[in-house]
Amino acid sequence: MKKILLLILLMFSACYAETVDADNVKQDAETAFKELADSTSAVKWQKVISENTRNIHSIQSSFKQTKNLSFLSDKVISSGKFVFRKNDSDNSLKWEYTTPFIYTIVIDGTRITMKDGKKISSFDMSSSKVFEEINEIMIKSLNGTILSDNKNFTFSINESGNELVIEMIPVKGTPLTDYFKNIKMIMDKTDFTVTKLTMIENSGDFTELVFTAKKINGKIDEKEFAVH
Amino acid sequence: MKKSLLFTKLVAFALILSLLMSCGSLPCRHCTPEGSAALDLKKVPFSDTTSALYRVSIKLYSMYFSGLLAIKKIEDGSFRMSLISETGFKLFDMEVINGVAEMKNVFSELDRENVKNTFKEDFALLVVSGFSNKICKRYTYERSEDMLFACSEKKEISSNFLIDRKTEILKRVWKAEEIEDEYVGINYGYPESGSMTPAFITIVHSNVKLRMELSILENK
Repeated sequence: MKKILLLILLMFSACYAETVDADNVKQDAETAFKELADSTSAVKWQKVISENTRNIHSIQSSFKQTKNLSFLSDKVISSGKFVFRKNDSDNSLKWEYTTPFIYTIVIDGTRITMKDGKKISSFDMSSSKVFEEINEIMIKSLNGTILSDNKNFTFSINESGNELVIEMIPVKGTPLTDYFKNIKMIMDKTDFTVTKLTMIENSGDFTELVFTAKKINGKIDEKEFAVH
Repeated sequence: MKKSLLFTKLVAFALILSLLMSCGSLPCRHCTPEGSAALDLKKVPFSDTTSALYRVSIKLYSMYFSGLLAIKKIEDGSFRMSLISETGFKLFDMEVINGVAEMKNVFSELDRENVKNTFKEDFALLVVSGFSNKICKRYTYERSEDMLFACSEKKEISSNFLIDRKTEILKRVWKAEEIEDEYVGINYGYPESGSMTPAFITIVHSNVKLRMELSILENK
């Protein structure tokens, strides 16, 4: 009797194991198909986004920045004005914080200038590899070329109503992996501009930027990027 | 005549020397030693704080940096902090437990021993962690109501605390080889509301040209 029970038990285990194997194969296939679909979707969207953002020469908007630190129950929230201009050879970017502090940061090509009260400091970004990388993410996110940066990121792009949800995972061994676990970008499908950018650090803390009141291709005064 | 002049000079020299030596035996000018006592820190910075957010400006020689410092008090003597740039870029996380500071997630370009040690020492001192009930030398200033506690640390270094005798508020803290020969000093400016969350803090190093200024943005 014991032998029969043992045999039934063994058979049941074998069947169960087979079922699990079959399930695994099915899951693997589904994952592979999904990945293929995702990659096809990513390639499709990369092309569409690149074509559409090519026509964006300037963006002016308001922004709200939320820094989430795991040990703080409240978030660190700041806001201000954002200006981006695509130039022939490089790009100009300005973050003007107005609340709860006054602070301006201008990135003009490789030059970064910061104004804190009356103090102005400036340095060449090429002296800081990480700063350079982060600035590149910002610029490439804004002009859409980040989606072709397969050297530094793996992408997944999903549609959600009027938005595109883009997840970017830094490739192992690239400098960004020291800092970011994941970068999530939400793009408006109607004008292909970024509405939300979330940078998740390896520690789990994250910075979220939400862009509102966007003005695309408006005229930007040359003085906008001058800091004095 | 010459002999008496020489004698007078010798006496004068001995007097000056003895005066200088007697001054040297006191670690601070115009203070009276009161023996040893346990450091009773009643009204220290952040004693009534849950969390605080500061705007920070750092001047190192001719270089200038700025950012935000978030401080969370976990319990007495135990704090968590994060220094971030205005753009949200994290420069480091720090945990201070009973005077021992540990840094995590340090931005690669700050990941140097001397830089980390400076921040660890300064920020552990800033939140006055690990000093409570330590046996220290106590002095009273002759011209003010202030009390001074000098607490010996490793080597010749002491951590010194200036406390208002009437209000019991800690006004100033500094580290020095001799009490009046400080190499880092922290001044606290408290708000009129009576809160012990400093509205302004300055950290000044004298051996390197480093000055940090903190001004409060939010506190709970």
